Amino acid sequence: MRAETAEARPIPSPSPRGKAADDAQFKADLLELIPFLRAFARSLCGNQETADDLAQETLVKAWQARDMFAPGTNLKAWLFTILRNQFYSDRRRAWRQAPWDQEAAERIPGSAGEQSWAAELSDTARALSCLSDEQREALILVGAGGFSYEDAARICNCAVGTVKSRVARARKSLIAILEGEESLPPAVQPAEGDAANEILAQLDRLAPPGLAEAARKRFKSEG
Amino acid sequence: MKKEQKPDRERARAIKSRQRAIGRELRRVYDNVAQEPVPDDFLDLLKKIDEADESGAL
Repeated sequence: MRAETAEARPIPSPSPRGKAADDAQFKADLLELIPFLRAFARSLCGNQETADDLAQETLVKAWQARDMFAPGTNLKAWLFTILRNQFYSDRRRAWRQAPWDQEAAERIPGSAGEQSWAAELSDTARALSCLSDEQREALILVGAGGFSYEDAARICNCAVGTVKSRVARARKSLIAILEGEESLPPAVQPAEGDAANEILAQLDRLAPPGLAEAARKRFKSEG
Repeated sequence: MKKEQKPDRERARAIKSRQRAIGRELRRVYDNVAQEPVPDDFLDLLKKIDEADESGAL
């Protein structure tokens, strides 16, 4: 999947028996990591059903790409990378659909997700839903997932310094929200020189609110 | 506001303790999901992946 992973892979065992054993081992490893995939997916989507779909898609993708995984490297980080890419590509696809594509609109994580966070969880979890995706994922990976800044940067495909600043800003925002000194922060606060953030901020401004709103209206008019 | 009258050190300590609480809470939320039993459809999926592979369908 990632070029660096493919290059780092040692020469694969040519015997079919070795391949079968590798596959069995890979599957056992996948099985063991399912709980963490679900937890990360839930933290991205908020909504359990969407999150489990995402985690399952990730498993299928990982299985199909298993020959590209370099044994002995961090499988959890590799899987999280796939999951995260899938999350954003699902979302981009949903954005490109016509606003009245109900099914696609419902799949947009965030709109339904935030409600779910808010409904079942504590103040902290609720405040988490107010963060931008980048801040939230960085904080979850480092603060809850136990990843190093370096691994989190690899998963998020950004610089280590970017992860550090996202985590710092996420913590600061959470505290401000929880202390009630700030009402809900803007969905994305682009940092200076942070191109990815800026692009995402633009996307946020352009697409989802209208799309979500259109979906809600349509849902209402049909129901 | 009362908060603004707090000395800086006290304020810093309050923030630190708040951050620790947030860290604990984050881990709790994440661990709660991670500790849920794996739903059957995940197990079925892994099983199916295998069968599809053996039959060359994947």
